Amino acid sequence: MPNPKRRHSKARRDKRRAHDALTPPAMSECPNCHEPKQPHRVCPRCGYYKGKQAINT
Amino acid sequence: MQHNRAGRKLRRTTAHRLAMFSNQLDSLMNHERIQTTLSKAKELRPLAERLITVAKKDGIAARRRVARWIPDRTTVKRVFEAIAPRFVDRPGGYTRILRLGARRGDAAEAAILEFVDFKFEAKERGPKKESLADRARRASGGRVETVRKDKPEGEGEETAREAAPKPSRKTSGGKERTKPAAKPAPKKGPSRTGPSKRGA
Ligand SMILES: [Zn+2]
Repeated sequence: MPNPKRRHSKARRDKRRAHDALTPPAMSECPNCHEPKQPHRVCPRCGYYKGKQAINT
Repeated sequence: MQHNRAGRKLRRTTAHRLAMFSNQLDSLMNHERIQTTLSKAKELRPLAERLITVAKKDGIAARRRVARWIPDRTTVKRVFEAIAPRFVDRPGGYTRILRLGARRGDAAEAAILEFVDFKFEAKERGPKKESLADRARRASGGRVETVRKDKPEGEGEETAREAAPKPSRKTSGGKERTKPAAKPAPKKGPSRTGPSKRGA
């Protein structure tokens, strides 16, 4: 079976991970309760969406 | 290129997937609104809309076409008599999908599929119901230690084990000390259902 000849250095490992960073989800302000919420989603705090209450919170 | 590969499999076999859609359509028609995942809602939406469109023209053929997806006859009746008439003037677009964000547990994007004329009524929230622990706390006026109930079976076993070596300790002698302790073990062995964790 083929095996690695050399162990990868930390630099090589870290360079591989240079593009693995996660981005935080986009946030917008809820027009009803002014809490931050994800855009195009029902507000998890007050349950409003498009000016109407959509869910119980 | 991804051509001619529309639709999601939803990690189910064809039969499983179709059965699930069938169940979800039944729920949607009965409850007017269902909560599911975004992927399932997106797959279900065209199916639901087609059923409504078919049901706008009542007749034996239309009833049977709807009944293919909804095996429950009372639900089929409801689709034709309570739901489809509401949408006679609407050229499609009977449902909407609301995104709810990642759900706890598997972080799947949750969504609500509902009819566009669904009228949401917020539940009036009464005072929080007092739990048993709260009630005990109020009655005693302070912290209450939760009392753990021992299983009667485990308790009996434990006391039998404790009791057995005690008399031997009083009577001196090395031989007697080990004997009573060793004896109960083989007796209990066969009575236990699973493999014993302690001893042997
Ligand atoms: Zn809000």
